[in-house]
Amino acid sequence: MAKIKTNIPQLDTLLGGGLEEGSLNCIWVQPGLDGTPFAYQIAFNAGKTNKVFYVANTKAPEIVKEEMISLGFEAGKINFIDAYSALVGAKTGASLLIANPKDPEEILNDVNTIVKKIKNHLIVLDSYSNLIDLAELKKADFIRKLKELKATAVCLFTEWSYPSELVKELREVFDTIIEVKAVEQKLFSREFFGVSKLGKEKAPQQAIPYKVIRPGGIKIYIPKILVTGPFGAGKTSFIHTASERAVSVDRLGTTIALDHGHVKYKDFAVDLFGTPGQQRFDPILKLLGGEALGVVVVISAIDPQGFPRAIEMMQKAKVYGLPVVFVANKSNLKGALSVAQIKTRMNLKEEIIVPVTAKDLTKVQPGLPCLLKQEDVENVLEALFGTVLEGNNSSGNKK
Amino acid sequence: MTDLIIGKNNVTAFLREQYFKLGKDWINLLEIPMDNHLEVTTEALKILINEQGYECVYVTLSKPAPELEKLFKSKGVDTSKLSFVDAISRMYGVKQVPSKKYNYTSGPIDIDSITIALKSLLASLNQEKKLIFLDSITTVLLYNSLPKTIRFSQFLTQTLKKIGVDGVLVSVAKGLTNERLVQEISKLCDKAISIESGRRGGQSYQ
Repeated sequence: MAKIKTNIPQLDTLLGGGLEEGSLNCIWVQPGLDGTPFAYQIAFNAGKTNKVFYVANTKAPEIVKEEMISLGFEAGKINFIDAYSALVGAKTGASLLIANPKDPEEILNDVNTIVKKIKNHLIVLDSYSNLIDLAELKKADFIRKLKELKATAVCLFTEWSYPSELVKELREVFDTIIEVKAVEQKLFSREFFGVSKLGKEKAPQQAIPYKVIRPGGIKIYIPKILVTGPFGAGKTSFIHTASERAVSVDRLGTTIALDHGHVKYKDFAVDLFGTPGQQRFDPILKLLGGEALGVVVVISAIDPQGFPRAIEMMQKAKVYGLPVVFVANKSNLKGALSVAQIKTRMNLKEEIIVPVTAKDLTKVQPGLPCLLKQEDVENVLEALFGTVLEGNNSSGNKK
Repeated sequence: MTDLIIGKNNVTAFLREQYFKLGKDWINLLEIPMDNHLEVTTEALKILINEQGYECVYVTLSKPAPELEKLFKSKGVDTSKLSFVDAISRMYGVKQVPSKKYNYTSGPIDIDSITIALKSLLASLNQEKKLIFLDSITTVLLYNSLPKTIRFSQFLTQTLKKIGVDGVLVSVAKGLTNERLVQEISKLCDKAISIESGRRGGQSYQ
């Protein structure tokens, strides 16, 4: 079966390459979260290979176009089916109009025509939950009929407090379910997506943290990575090399409060928070470690005496148990320990250690931060993002 | 500023007494006669914002936010503590005024976008006392089915309770608003305050 690429970071991987043609897919959204960027991004990218029909029943197609453009997605190739204007008695510029949006059969008739005429189609229904409300649907028959028509579709569904039997039936009838969820923290929430159902295959148990960037669309967003390690190991050097913008609170070249950097790398957006290495700042380590999703521990490969301090700092920051990558700085200097030696000395098992070195040794001044080799830092970021995404579901295991 | 008198009764004094009694952590159904809708909401806002120190997100489903802000300001509401979710302007093609205080959603049918806008504005409030003022649940029902309106109200009230934000849900046109909706929403609220258009100034019930 051919796959339709969504180009949403990590989603195509979770889906085994993309949306399967002839499948019924649901973007299953927790109330209070916005599922439309997923629908827009899928519609836009699918439009490069397939003919996309966007059924809008919660807002006018013009508003959908405006919102798509705000995310950076041109809607020019998308065909809109206006199932909204008739609800509010508005005029419409759409060529395809649903005269009675409360009648699911009228939408199904249009779908039937599309499926018969166009093999490479994708129908996006925004939203199925609104259709349930408008037509007062009690069962999932509409989705079953889409299946009988062999339509390829993506349906947006917000899980309001519908009867549990309907919710259960919907979970069964869709081929694929993409979940959009949040962990609520008072007024703030951390948003994730994942795939909870993937046809007959086992769904990957992975939750991807994301953020909607305008323009830009959905990006994987790791709000906090703690960068810790002993004094003089090179935390500031790492943060400044990795970040597109970074600030340090320092005095005479050494960090006395904290470093903060923002990294944009491939599909990821990440905020790095560096801790000061001196013991007198230990009381704030716990505060800095709060809500971190992963840890980078910077150690000096030529200073094994600092290794116990690195472990102590992780314990004090309460980040032991989070996904972690060790950065062995100064690995090309005389007397530097190898990765295997560091593992033994630090009693590490599965943890990843990435050796890094200064970009230009001639420019290194004792006690001052310097730029590191870009490819080394990228190796760290690759390892870090991999471990964070893998370990995301176990991030509650923080000790 | 003079008190609002409807019939023979002092509505301002009545509202002041009722909101004073509510204390902390509450959600209130405010039933208002259609003829006095804006006068009563203005009085309620003055009491809650000016006197009780709330920072408020006002959800408007009937008038554009800039127009309402101007009106409230002219009536003495401290609009520096007021921001708006405007769920009507885009739907009718009314020009949107760019401002951090206005969050425009696509329209009253798109209740998902109303809840998203509310959460976003609430997160930007700084005061300790935060309030949502939904004007009105009657208008939500005008564009949506009864079950959908009830589901929305349930979600809204549960969320407000969870995050410790107080709320006023306005119901306009007593007697005309679907009775089942009023009953269901009353169950979700800590208190209902009813303003009568006739001889009585108002009544409240738990």
